[in-house]
Amino acid sequence: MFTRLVTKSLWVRRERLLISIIAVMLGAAMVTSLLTISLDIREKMGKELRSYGANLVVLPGEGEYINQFNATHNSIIGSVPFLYFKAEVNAKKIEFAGANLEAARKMNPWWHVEGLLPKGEEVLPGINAANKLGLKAGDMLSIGDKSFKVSGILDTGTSDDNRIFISMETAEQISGKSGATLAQVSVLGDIDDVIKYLENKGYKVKKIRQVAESEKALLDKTQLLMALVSFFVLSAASLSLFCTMITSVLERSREIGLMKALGCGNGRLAAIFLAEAGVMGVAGGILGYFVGLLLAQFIGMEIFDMQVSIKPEVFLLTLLISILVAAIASLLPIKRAISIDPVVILRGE
Amino acid sequence: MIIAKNLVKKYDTTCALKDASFTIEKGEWANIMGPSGSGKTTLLNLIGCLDSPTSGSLLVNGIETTKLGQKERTRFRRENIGLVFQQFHMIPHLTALENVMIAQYFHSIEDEKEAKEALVHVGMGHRLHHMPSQLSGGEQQRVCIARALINQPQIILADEPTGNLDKKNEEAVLDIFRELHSEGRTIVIVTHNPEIGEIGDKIIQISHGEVKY
Ligand SMILES: Nc1ncnc2c1ncn2[C@@H]1O[C@H](COP(=O)(O)OP(=O)(O)OP(=O)(O)O)[C@@H](O)[C@H]1O
Ligand SMILES: [Mg+2]
Repeated sequence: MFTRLVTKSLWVRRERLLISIIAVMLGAAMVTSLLTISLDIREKMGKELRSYGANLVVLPGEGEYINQFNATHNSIIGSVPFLYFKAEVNAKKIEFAGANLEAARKMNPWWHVEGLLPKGEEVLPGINAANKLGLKAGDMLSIGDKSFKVSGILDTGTSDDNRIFISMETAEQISGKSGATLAQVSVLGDIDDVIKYLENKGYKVKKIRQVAESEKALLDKTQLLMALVSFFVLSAASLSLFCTMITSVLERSREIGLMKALGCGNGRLAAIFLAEAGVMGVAGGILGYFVGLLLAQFIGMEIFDMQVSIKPEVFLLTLLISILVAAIASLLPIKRAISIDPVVILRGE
Repeated sequence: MIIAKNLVKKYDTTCALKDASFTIEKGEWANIMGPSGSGKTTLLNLIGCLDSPTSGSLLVNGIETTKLGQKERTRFRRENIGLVFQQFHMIPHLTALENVMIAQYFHSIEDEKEAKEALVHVGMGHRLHHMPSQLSGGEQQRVCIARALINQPQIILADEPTGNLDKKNEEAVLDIFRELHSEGRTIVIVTHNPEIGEIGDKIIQISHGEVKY
């Protein structure tokens, strides 16, 4: 009977119900994307941060390329030049990275290669690039008029997943360029001294930690903005829910008076209205979760160049917050319903 | 069973009930009669614990109802009293059957079979799944009577239960009350109909809030 009572009265007011659900959905979508971005991107960024340690990225001082990167300094324990360029594959623009991949793997120990590192006419796509192009190890891939074999798939959990890695020679062949767009440098010791040394040689130097830290600052700002937006959207949602509930209570005061006259206690009355609000909260929460995932994916790709992954705890949190908003919004309307005097209502007309 | 002593009910300025005292025995059929606005509904609401008096004492089923809090009154009403309102009130989005079952639900647990039987009993077996808006006034009234009786209350309070019924339906409803009366339930009916007045065991005459009996 309880379910019938709740569903039927919701059904009678389905238009208003829909509006409230949409309002909750928007709030929940913001919450979901906020949580996903916060938890997931933070985690991935942390991974990048940790593994880079105190390493440096060296960029060309003048022009676009470093022709011959040579640096001899006691504190430099390794360096890998990279040649980045974009090329079209299957009508999709993909970023390529050429390097001595043996060395690159040593410098980026978190690289996970499913298969082998490429040799000769072979390529190693990052996992996102592979998914985008529908590639797996052993497949053939044509770039320009040449054919390459996929030697394996690279999973880094960073934006490198979007790239296709090839040997430096292949990179120079395909792009027709020579030199490196940047070099990763591994330093053990006095990093500032190394920076001075490299800058004297005419290079631009960036601490990778700084790169990551500016990304982290961006994440913090994005998060703050999203938290603010979430707060306002949730407030608006609870206001909308409040309006729906209070209108419902006012419209149904005769019905409520009747139920009370028939012996419906306050607890049960509150339960009926809470359940109605709960339905809106749950429905809005679930819908909002999926909309929020899309939003998070969009923000992740646009701002952080990262694919976000789905986290089940975000779903639970979103649902919880939606239900909480619904419950808070219905407190006053329920109080109002409880205060209805059956005598006055039943006498009416 | 029902003992009222010096009951007073005031609404702001109007005094709807002045010093009403009367007794209704267990199993008695009492009719409350009087002109419009004389305080009949007010009195019935007091007995039904829907409202509390400004002063005076009212013993129902041995319980001093004026001393009950709002929650206890709701519970008391649920357990002891079946109400038929002057304006037949139903929940608009529930069917006739569900409108009866809801009283079972508030009382204890719903029993669809019993609710159906109750509706058949008042001649509404063919309208089980109609919505209130699809029922005539007389039909709605009968659903309300079925609802008032469904939990087998000891006391049945009815505010003009036959006011909207034709002769045939009125007889049917009165038969139900007669049956209840013979089962030993206490029945209090507000009526303008002198024919009903004759069936009852006693008449509580009321005018301008004053009870003469
Ligand atoms: N909530 C209220 N506030 C103020 N006055 C009220 C209220 N309820 C009832 N009254 C007044 O109390 C008096 C008695 O009302 P009541 O409804 O008991 O009359 P009644 O005998 O049932 O009349 P009827 O036969 O028309 O139903 C009336 O004068 C009415 O105006
Ligand atoms: Mg009346």
